[in-house]
Amino acid sequence: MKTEKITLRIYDEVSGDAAISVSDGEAIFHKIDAALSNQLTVVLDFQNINLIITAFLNACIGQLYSKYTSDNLNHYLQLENVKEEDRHLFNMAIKRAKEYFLDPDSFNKSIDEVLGND
Amino acid sequence: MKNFRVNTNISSDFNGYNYLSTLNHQLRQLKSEQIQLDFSGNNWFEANLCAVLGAILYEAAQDFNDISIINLQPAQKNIFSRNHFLASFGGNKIADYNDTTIKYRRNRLSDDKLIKEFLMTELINKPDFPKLSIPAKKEIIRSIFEIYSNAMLHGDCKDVYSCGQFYPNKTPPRIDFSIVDMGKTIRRNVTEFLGTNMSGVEAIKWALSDNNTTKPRDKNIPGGLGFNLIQKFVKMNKGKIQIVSSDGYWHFALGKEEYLTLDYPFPGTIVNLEFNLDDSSFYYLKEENNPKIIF
Repeated sequence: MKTEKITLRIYDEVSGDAAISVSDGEAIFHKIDAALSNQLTVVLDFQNINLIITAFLNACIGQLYSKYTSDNLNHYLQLENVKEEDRHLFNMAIKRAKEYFLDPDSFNKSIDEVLGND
Repeated sequence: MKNFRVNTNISSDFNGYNYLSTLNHQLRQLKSEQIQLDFSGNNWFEANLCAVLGAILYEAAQDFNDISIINLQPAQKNIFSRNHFLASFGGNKIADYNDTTIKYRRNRLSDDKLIKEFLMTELINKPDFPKLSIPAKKEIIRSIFEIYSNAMLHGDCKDVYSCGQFYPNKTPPRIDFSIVDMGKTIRRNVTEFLGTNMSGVEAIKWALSDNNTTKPRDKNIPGGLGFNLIQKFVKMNKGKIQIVSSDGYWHFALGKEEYLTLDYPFPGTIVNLEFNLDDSSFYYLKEENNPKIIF
């Protein structure tokens, strides 16, 4: 019988309780991408993770929006054991990624907008 | 022999950074010289700024200059030995019996696992501050790692320098932590990204504005969240953030910000974070009405 679901244990993937490395985030992104490309469901298990930074989430999860839609991800990607106090980080990274990949070229503000020049 | 006297007291403020960027400018004119940095006229040099001084001296040494630090006051010599700064410039290192330093380090960026291990050990095993809540402590550590990853992503350099100091006897008690890279400045990154020439201050303003990021398009990774998050936390914690990059200086404390221009550009980026350790807040910075994560 073929497997339909894989679990990536972040504690194991990052070798500890801190998800703070962008290179770890990228490596996990590639694993998720490979699995999703094969129509597998992916579970990201954050058990025992005590520290997460947004740069890790941008690399690991945000990058998925370059290839997959929200519908795809809601269907095939599951999160487990995310601490309540860390949920806002995920929501921030997801919101940012959706905005970014909607139109990357006009994502940044111009210098005139920032400085208030006409 | 060239002698540079550190006559003024050096704190983490505009004058301190202006002095250090001027010193850097002077040292970078020299090649194959014996250089003495003379502290006989100096009574105060904030230990976290060893990260900045270390970066400046290391770069100057790359031009075959022989650098020595002389006439440190006993208390300064003690702290510069405890935080291992002097060990990089011909001095000794001694045990940090007060456990108030976060050691000076020049980290190879390629060793990100080692950096993580080092900082976790240095930050987590410090004495507990009774009024500092666990969520506040976690946000402090998270902020420091966000800045580190920022330097790795944007600095385009080999090394990052860091040093921190706990000030338990100040009111309120605080920790200062400085991270320095001598890579591409924010000004250069933003100028290249937008194709528009601008001052250091203008570039910092642009980089701090919501959404903006100079992360390379080919990386395909969205960015620009870390500073936003740190700024929110620092505001609640009543701490401060400073950024020096090229000739731009930005200071944020108690909800107010200040932009100034340095006399000489600093050839990299300094980020200094100051956190208030008298913080019993139990905040999570969470979105109250949307705890569920939806892709």
